[in-house]
Amino acid sequence: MYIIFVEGVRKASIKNPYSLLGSGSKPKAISSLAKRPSEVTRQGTQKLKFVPTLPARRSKDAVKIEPVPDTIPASSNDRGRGRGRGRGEGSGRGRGGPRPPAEMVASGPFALGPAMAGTSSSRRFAQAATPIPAPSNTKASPLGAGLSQTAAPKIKREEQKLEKDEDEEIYSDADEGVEIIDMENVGQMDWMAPDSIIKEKTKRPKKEDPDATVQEVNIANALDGDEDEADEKDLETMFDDLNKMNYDTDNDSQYLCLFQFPSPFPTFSAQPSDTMQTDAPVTPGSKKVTFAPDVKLETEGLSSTAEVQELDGLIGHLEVYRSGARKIRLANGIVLDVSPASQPSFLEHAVHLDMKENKLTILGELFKHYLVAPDIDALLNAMDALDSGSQTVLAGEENLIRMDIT
Amino acid sequence: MNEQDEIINRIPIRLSNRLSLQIHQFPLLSRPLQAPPSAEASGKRITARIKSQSRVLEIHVPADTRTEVYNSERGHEFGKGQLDDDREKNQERKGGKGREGEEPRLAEIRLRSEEIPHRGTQMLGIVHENELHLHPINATHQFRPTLTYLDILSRKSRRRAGDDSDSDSDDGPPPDPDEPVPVTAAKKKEKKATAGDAKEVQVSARRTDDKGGNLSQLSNARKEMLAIIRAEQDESWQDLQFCGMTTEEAGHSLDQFFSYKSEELHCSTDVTTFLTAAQKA
Repeated sequence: MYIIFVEGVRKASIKNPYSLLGSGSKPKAISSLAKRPSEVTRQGTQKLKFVPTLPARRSKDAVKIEPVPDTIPASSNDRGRGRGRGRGEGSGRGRGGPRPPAEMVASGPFALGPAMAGTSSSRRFAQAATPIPAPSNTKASPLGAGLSQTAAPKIKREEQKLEKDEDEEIYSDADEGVEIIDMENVGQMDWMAPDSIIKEKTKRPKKEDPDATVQEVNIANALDGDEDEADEKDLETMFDDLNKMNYDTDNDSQYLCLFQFPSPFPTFSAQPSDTMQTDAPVTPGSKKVTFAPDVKLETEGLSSTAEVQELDGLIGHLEVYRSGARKIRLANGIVLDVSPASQPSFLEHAVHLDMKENKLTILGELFKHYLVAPDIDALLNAMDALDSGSQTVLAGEENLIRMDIT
Repeated sequence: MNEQDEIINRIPIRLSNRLSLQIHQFPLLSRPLQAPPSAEASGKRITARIKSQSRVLEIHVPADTRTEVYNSERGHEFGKGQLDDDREKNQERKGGKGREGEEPRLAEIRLRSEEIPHRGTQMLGIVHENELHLHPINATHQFRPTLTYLDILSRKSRRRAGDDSDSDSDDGPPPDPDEPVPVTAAKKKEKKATAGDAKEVQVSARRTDDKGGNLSQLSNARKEMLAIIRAEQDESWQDLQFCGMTTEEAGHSLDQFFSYKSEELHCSTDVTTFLTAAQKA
């Protein structure tokens, strides 16, 4: 690529010096094009000089001419950037500038493969309202000033990921008004600053967790197969996130989880003896329709048949097994398996919409998604029982062969 | 299943359905839904409104209007476009401040919702005091920013740009593919021909089965879609009070979420209904 470019320069020569620039960039300083003896190759063309560019962060009012001119990036720099982008920087938020040396992990909901989506997207919670900084004055200001120097509130990630990198990058001293900005800290410069791409920590402390050594197939871990570090971490979180929720009684109410049950959800009613139930077909997600003349209702008046009975009470138990499996056991022999569903990487709010008072109240942000499915053994046994129970017993049946007509 | 699997923890599950719960999804990766501090300092808050029949919500998040990060000229341009767009759709904010009446600015991001159908029964679960509380979720809404002010502005610029503007219109349903090919395509072909070749090739496209723009010939599906769109545009917005997570109302709603009675509820179905209901459906 480099060689091809040199040929291009030869052809373009000096007819139009601006042809070297990428489209749309205003020439700020032409110093790089002036031919100095050290910069000209033996064939008379210009040697390419790599000059790092600084992020152009200028306020609209003041465009001060810096003592060190903002040199136009040589086109090879542009190509380099293009190549880098092509290599998959994910959301492509990196700009020209001191390139981070270590490998970078692309962020964004689609940059990761489907298997990884479960691990890295653990949702987190907004910190307590950050102190609101006083808005800065809008004076003409040099580059970089006028920003509030506070980050936007980041939603806290899980504890493991909060490890701060101990060794900060040390750059050479800033000279003459050029501010050195570490690309990783760009996000902390201002509320509106873009998020930096997260660097993957190369050394992760290996955790000694007895539960995590259980590598056998268990339904609690939907991401089976890989022996990755990320998966081990996932195993840990899936083992004890529910336990953690139990023991952490101080702020346990912040763990909002979405459970996706199979439909129709079992019908529950308040009083066991006096309820009558209609045979209306229950469509997925709809409310349970029950006639309950004797049940004391709380608020809504029971006028039409479509009114939903208000429920409040105990329905079953969630059992956590040593192997990490979790089951929900409800009445009537209903056993359901709980497994983690694919976690969304975006923000989700649980919201209470009160149309009577015209209020929209945010209850919180969702933490994890779980998928609930009937336990197959229990389901098949129950189906067998149902089938055998419904068939009429004929005299001398044991001599007959049963034909399956289902 | 390993038979020696022992239970190490057992949490009771409770059910309640007092509230009308929804899930709102936002295109935000690592930030919460918050107004920027500069906007909060000047008193702007997140607001919301709803069209209950059409099941559409809108959440307006104030934008950061500091000069370092906000382009005022564009802001005014877009603000005017938004005002025009609002007037067209009859959703103009009544009782706006005097200053805003003179020079409207685009000072908020509008997120519009789309309802997502549920698969299965969704329940919100919170572990509280060593008990799992479940609550059914009524609807799930996905929010995206709406940039309808751009439509109006592009329409104006398109009218200004050329007299031979194409025949498909911006408002209403997406461009009808049955409409005749716009005139501008023919012009481009002429220019191409005169560049080097001596020959001029005239190309014209004609539809054999012309469904036409005649309203009576539209298919039923299209009529339904148009009816839905029209009904939604006709319905007026209902303002909602937006209460964030840290407000008192949120605490109050959260209290209502939990189930308090410790009686056992009676279940009238069993596991087999999962299969039999699916068979019926």
